[in-house]
Amino acid sequence: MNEIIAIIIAAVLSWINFVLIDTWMGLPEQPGVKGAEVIGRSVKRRGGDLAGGFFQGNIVCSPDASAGTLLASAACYTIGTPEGGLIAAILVYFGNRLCADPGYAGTTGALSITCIIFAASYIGIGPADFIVGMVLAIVTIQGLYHPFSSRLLGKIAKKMGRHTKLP
Amino acid sequence: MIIHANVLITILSYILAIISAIIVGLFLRMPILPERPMRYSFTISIVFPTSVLAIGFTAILFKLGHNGLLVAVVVGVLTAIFAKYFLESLLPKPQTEESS
Amino acid sequence: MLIQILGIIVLLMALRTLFAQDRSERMLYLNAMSFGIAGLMALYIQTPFGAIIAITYFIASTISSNAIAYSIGRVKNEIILDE
Repeated sequence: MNEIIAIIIAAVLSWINFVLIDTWMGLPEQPGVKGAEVIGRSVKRRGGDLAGGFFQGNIVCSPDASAGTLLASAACYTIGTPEGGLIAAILVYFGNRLCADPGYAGTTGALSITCIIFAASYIGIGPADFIVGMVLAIVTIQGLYHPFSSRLLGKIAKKMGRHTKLP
Repeated sequence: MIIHANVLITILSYILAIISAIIVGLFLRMPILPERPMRYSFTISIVFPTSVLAIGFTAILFKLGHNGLLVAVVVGVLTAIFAKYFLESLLPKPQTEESS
Repeated sequence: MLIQILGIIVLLMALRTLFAQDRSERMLYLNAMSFGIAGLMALYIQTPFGAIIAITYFIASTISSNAIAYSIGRVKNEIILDE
């Protein structure tokens, strides 16, 4: 498969994986730690959505499904599928507990992307494409224009019933 | 789809590791599911994180060269014991942050 | 080619961090850069130890970003006395 198309497909799959799992695990609902609240309020002040801001702040301050996706892809690339993803899941779990997070989002993200990588290997997309795809996906959320991406995350959170109730 | 015997034994080993961790966890009286809402609780239960740790440690041992069903069963048993007694002291529950 | 793509992303995020005005905004660009560097580590050191290094680096950078974001919030509430 053409390398560019493989990277784009991997980016879309990683984006869907981590946004859906993180939203379902309640990242837009409340800031997990104080630092996430600071970032969330700053995004809201600059014209974004508060729930989307909490989502972005939680990504910065604690390993979540985005970290699980990236690290599971890196582990699958170097150690092999599926053992790499399973090893990454326990390491992400330890990292989560070190950051005062229960650990559900990170491990679920790692395990689900391991299944997706295993399935995608049958159509010619390798774990290395998923590493680059995941970095591209996180740049669209954290690195382009925060008010727009936070409003998009807020709309997804509202649809899944996870929008924040904080003022 | 042709499934080779090696892949079948590997999948069976992972499932056996989870099953043995669940059985020993039930024997040690660990809660099966954490309390609701599940995504915010720090309780160590059978489904999470014991099962995840069981297949993770099995994967580490498989990559280090020790393959087979017996390895998976032993790892499942040891993981359940580890999760019940040692995990809490290794990774303590965080106290709620004080606000200034 | 994959390493070049990640390298360009890391450079762009680093430049945005330098030129951003808001301190909290910089944290978001730094976080995107950490993702890129962790990916670079895994792609360059292609052995299992490379994955361990990438995971350790990423979790350590997350803990640092957590501490920095917390301190940004605390500093805002301080009253600075000018001598």
